[in-house]
Amino acid sequence: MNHDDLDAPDLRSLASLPSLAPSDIGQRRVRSRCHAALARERRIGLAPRLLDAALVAAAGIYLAAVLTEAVRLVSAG
Amino acid sequence: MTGVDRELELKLVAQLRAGEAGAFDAVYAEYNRRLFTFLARLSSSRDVAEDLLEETWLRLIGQAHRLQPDTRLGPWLFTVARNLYLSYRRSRALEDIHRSETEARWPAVHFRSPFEATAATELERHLEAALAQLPFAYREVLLLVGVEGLRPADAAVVCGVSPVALRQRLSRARALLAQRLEDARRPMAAIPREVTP
Repeated sequence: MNHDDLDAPDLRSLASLPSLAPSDIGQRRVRSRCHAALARERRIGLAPRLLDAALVAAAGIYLAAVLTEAVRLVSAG
Repeated sequence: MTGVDRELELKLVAQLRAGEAGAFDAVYAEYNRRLFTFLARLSSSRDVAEDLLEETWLRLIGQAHRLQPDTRLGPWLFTVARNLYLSYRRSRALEDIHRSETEARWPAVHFRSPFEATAATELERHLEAALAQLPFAYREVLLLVGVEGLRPADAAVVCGVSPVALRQRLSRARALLAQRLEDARRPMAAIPREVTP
């Protein structure tokens, strides 16, 4: 038998071995835990994004105020 | 999804990074049974496999936002499952010592894997028994490449070895498996058939 051949009968026999399914109860538990964890991750991930948006908005307002003040000073001078 | 649907896989990774439940469900549907089968054959225990499977999926959720955009989900999941099994094995090392002492004391005691009990044919039974008795390094490579159909390069990533080392290990594993199967067949062949007049 050539043990470098990936299409040999021994590997084909292994590939045809049956698979096994976890219990229904176990599957339901895993899915519900994972969905809950995903929702939690999303909530945690949302906080930094909201903070970023608030910082960008504050920087925009500050820049607009600076520009307005600069225009006012130029036109007054 | 082993290389065929790469485009879909990349899309699922992007959706997982964004925390989309639908992407998780798709990945779960694709890999859950395969991971369970892999873990059950590694551990020879349904209960252990179920616990490690749950932990594997929770790891995916915990790491989802840190996945690289080009992550290959199959090797990633099998790597996590394998590492969790190794951690479990280390934590149970004392019990393993006790078990090997028990086996030494009563050599006739044979621990059947859940697969041996459900094997449909004699060849399957022999294969399951031979697989379960192989050393871990050989068993895992046969499970990944032979049973799960991972490419040797992906299996090398899972096992943390170079592709060359994996090919050598695979070759030795196949030789040992063939020898074990031959050993299992020999006593049966030696049984004299009933002589009919």
